[in-house]
Amino acid sequence: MNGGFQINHCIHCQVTVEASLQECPLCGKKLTNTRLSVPRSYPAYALHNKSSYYFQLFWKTLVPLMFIGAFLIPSLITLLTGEGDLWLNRETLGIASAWVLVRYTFLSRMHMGKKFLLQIMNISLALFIFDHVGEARGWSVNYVIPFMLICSTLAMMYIVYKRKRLWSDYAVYVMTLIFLGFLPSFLYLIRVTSLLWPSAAAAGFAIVSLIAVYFFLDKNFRSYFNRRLHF
Amino acid sequence: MNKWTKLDNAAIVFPSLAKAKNSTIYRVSAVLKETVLPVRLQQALDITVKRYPMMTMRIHKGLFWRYMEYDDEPLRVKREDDYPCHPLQDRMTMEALLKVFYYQRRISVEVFHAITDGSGAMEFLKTLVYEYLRLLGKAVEPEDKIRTASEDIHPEELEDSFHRYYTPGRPPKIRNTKAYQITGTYFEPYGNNVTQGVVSASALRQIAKKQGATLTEFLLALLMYTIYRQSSQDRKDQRPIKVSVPVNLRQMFPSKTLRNFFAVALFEISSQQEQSLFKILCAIKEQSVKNYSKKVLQEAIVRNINLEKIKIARFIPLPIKDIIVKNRYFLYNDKLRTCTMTNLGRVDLPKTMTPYVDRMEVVFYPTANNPLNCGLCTVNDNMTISFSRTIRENRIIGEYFRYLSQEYGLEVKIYSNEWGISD
Ligand SMILES: [Zn+2]
Repeated sequence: MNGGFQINHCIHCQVTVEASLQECPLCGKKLTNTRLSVPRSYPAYALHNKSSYYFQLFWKTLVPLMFIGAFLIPSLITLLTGEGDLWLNRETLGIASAWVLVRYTFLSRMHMGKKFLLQIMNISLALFIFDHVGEARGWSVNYVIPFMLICSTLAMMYIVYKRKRLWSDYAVYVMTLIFLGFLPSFLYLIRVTSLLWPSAAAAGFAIVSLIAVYFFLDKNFRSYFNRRLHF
Repeated sequence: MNKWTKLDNAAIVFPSLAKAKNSTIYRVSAVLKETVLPVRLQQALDITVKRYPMMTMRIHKGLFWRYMEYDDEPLRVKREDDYPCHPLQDRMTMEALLKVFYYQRRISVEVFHAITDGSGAMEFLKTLVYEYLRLLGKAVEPEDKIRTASEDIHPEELEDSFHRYYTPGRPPKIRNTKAYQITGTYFEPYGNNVTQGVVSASALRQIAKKQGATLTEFLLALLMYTIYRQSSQDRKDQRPIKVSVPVNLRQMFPSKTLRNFFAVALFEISSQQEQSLFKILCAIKEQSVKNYSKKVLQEAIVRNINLEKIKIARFIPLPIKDIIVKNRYFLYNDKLRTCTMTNLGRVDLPKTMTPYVDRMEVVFYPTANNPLNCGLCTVNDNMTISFSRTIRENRIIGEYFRYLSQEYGLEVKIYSNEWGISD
């Protein structure tokens, strides 16, 4: 009785070992009489697992560390001592923002809706800082961010409308995005923004979206709330 | 598609805990006598899934709790190409929480613990193998031991049995202390090394009987003994050795449920005193009486439900709950035990099926603080002892099997997936 097991022996452990193994799994000693032609119980694990591991290690750990070492720490020292150059400028922020873009879209397995939302915030923040480094001109909050919010809400709503199956998965992100539409108006109220109409348009669009969500998707919407909010 | 349900009582913590170093995914497999044909296996899976709709549910996040939703995306069998109990790749909503793999003669089912427990997964595997053999034209009969696809789904299968057996009350609090921890160097890249041994169940039972113990008690004692021998050289950590053994509550509280319905028994020995295998065995026999008594298991059920009934907990938003569970778990639970040994026992297959099945395996996932765990399963006379580990050191496993072969003269057949070894 060896259950279709083609076998080999480890003299040290006094056990039988699967024929295709080259070392004893218990003591690690080299085995004689290994027959590689006999099929193994487990697959040989592909090397891509390992290379993707190092690739991820590089992007997720090393790159941010390099960035912190090369830019942030010198900047901090500059801030504290008042000597040297301030590295926290447009270029370094551009690099940081691009890294967030790569790291959290291509290298991340997170939910598409979340990726989308995160990148909108990433780009908005980057544009805002670009705009306000040196002399503040306000183009980011006045025009770009309100219109970007309108377009992205529209895009997300369109995707969810086309593929209703996605609704329950995306709802949380659609709702967050809609509520972000009120942010430019808030910025106007606290006088960060100087131009009213694009911000007002974004808020108006957010209200229209809420109504649309309520009427067009209302059946799913209600069942969605039952599920999400049960306690 | 829009049908949804709450997570069952014992399942709530698993999604909060799942991460790369604690996949909370375990594997049950059947090793057949012949190479598996993927096309037939896919057909068998399509049939089986209809019988077990709860197994294809996916988990979504709510504001206060997670919930499960039926999913109609078909399951595909895959050729095994990753280590057993591999963590989920994507979000829980994007990926099936039950997966079926084939490799050579093995059919494996990997399940996320929130979906069901070991005996639920075993029921699924039995049906899958039965349907597979039937499709191959083998003369197999269910003999009332298999839930076949043609049979109706019993409503009780979907039930959260913890609620059925709940009796209001306040069982005494358990004061737990931290346990001895097995330490070592993680494999890099991180992964699960599975080392398995097949022994004759009847021969082993004879040996256990001579010592006045059951098979599980004997194997548990041996595991604790090998851990003790390791710990006695490690003078820094003198905490007691504790091994947790999941208990299938269906044996004492009859239920057909396919959802989680288990409790955990904790066995403990001191690592400071001088121990022998016999001494440990006596301690285990003594603790078994208490651990497996109906009173103690009933208290476990009540404690579980009481936790769910805490009023404030219901209104804590999910992300905060997750943080609480993670900390409670990682600061206490995971460190409250040295390792886990799970025994699915003797799998009762129909007589007409046994000629086609060589053995069955259970692989239990290692966790962050428990880098070594053990799963047992017997079919016909073949008992498979599966160790999974995430660290390089394998002295415990080596000594364990060597003890069986050298001390008792048992024939032990060893095989392994060799993760982290062959380079
Ligand atoms: Zn050996």
